[in-house]
Amino acid sequence: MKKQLLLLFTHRGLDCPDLLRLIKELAKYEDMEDQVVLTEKELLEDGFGEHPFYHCLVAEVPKEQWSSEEHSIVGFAMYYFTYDPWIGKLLYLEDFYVMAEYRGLGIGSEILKNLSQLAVKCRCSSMHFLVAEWNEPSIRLFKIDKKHLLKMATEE
Amino acid sequence: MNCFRIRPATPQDCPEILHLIKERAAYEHTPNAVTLTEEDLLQDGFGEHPFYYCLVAEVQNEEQIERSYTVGYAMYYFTYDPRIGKLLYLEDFYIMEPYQGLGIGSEILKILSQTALETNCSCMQFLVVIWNQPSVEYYMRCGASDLSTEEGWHLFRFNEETLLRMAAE
Repeated sequence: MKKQLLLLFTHRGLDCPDLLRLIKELAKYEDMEDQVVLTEKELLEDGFGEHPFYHCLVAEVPKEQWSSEEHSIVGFAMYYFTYDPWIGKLLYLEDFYVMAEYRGLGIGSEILKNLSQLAVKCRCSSMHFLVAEWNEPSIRLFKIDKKHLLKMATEE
Repeated sequence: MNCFRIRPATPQDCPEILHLIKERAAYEHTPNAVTLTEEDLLQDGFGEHPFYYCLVAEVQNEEQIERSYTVGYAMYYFTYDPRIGKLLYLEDFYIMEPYQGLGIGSEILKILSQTALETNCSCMQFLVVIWNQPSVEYYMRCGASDLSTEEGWHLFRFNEETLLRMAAE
């Protein structure tokens, strides 16, 4: 997919239904679908109240790329800031999901790039996240990214 | 006999909190790993958007009741699970060795539990290094479960160098 066809933006209140849809999809993939008890109302209050408890990037594709069910929002990355008493602020990537039919197109890399820029801009010392040990594709994704980054550093 | 009290930290506690953070780091043989300053603690904890919250444990000597000093702290913040919502995350929890075993830890956990419930948090989470057997046993006795064992989670990290490379791609 050409980069100009993908739009990444900060989640807005009106995206909550799509966000919840994707959260449930990811939970289904992790075999935890019945554990999603969060509602659209809670997502709205918790993300857009006086003190946001989370932030979100969403990936949107143009109309000609919409899913079979006419969804334009095809991925999300939920993050927040944590605090290490030795080094200060960190960016914590809580959840990261791209719909199956939109994977392998560079959306994930673009999200990670955006989050890296955000972390650097907010003077975070590092980005942390959890990966389940059974999640082989995700583990491979992050391992490949690290090798790729090291290769780029050498080439520079 | 000493009595103690637990209270929310104020900006004036930042020097003492940093002192305890460094003391703990020294105990773990990494005193130079603490790059945080009093200024950072002040801005990050008491600015418009707090990045952390802190409880401090104070001890008063009954014979010199006007004297109190900080002997421990618990640093926490709120995190978010997209399945269940807000969680209370206990980042750091330290009591000076001479004051351990007096019930300060239990009192801190009690107040944190109350805070978690008052703010509609589904649970409290925290990291424990697996070789820290006394801590592991303490928390298991309190009723904690080990998510790495039970659900297979591992904590990963992109360090600053990697972030800079990824940001510039």
